[in-house]
Amino acid sequence: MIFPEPLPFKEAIESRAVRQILPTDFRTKLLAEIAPELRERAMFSAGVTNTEFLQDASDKIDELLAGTTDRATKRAELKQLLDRLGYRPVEGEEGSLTDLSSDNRLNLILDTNLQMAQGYGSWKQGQQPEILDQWPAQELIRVIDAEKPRPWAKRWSDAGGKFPGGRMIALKNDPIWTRISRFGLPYPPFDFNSGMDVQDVDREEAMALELIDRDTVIAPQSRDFNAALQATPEVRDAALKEALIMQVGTFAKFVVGVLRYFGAAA
Amino acid sequence: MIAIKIDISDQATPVIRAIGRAVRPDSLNPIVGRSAVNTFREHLFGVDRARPNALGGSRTHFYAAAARGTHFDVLPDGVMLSVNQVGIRQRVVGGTITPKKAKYLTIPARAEAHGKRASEFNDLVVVFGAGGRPVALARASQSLIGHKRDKVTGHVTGATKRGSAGGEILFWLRKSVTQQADPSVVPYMELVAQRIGRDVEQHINRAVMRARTAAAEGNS
Repeated sequence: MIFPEPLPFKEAIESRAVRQILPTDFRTKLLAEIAPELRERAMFSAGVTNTEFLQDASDKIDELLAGTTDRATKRAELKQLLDRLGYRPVEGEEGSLTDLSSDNRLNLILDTNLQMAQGYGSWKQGQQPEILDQWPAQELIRVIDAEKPRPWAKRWSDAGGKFPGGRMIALKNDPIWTRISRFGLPYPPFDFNSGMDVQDVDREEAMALELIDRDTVIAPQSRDFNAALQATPEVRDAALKEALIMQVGTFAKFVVGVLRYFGAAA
Repeated sequence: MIAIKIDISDQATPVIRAIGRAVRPDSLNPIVGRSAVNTFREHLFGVDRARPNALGGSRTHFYAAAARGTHFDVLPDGVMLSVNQVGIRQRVVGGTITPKKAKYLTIPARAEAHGKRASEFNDLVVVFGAGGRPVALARASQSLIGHKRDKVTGHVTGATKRGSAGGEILFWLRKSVTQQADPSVVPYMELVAQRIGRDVEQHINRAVMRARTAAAEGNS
């Protein structure tokens, strides 16, 4: 039976709900200096200091997650917002990833954030004890072909991954998943514009590949969002800022609510 | 009539108890839900790889996005699977679409329009058909003008037409579009049911084997 309205992806919505708007002039490389646990609680985009844009983009990602709109519509609306805000790309950089109004950049913001929420949602559902017992492992697979594919097998191998049956398979709670991620998180996407994803591997297959035996129980993991979800947005915002300053305060500080870079990064 | 009444409630073997636990809704529902999600994801990713945009151009990966938006929820009376991707239901069941806000639907006519909104182009003009009816949106035509210069002084003395650009139709305008149902974009329910059956069977068998092992160890 098919129903007209999609159901809310509750676990994915959780991961959006804990995120606070974080305007910052940090570029991508500098953002990587921030601990994944803090990045996971912030809605930001490299070099974007405008709160209104970030809030609007965040709202649109929530709509995409709900399955009630499409990316092109939301991208067009963000372009209109940028027009109203008087945004102009740096001369010579029009259409590039540093141009906030370009299709590539807007798609990247919408896709990455949406896929992060969905990736978390799927990961969280997969951490239910019954599911973890039935499907204790997962495989890294290519789901979208790339013109210039990244060398994922090398990244897997460099991160200490094994190749049981010639495939990139590991137990779900193996640290390999965090190690291969550019974002330091155990769920996909594992990089920007990545065509890779994960696929559950059931216990029978995992046993055949000698990854696990019949009776080993894997303890579920958590990203500890519960406390944050119970706090008010103001408390979450203050906690995030405090934690960020604890971490990057040697080279950055908040100026009128914007995390700004000062001096050499660690 | 001879009636025999045997109370077996306290005599249930560990294996029966294990089966009982394994088939309780709180134990079974996540297995059913995840199994269905896995089958849908696998199928939708496959459809995405097999079906590029009809017009060519950069891909939107509609079906891969649908795969990533697939999840399940446990409801009081069972498990519900949801594919959170706008447009997926329309593809499965088909039907007529009419514009909700605008007067016309904009149907991409060229690869460069695929996956984009008409408002993302700043040089579109309306093309009118017979009876003055709007039929399409096209790029505005431009005449390319060259300068005519004096050979001796190099001063501009006039202009020459060097060609024209634009005019391509990017979107067709339609009052409505009727699409055929395409149930093949989602997995057949028989396959989903078969996979759920297999996964539930594994789940129950494992519970039984574990209980037998535990019972055997307890007896030894």
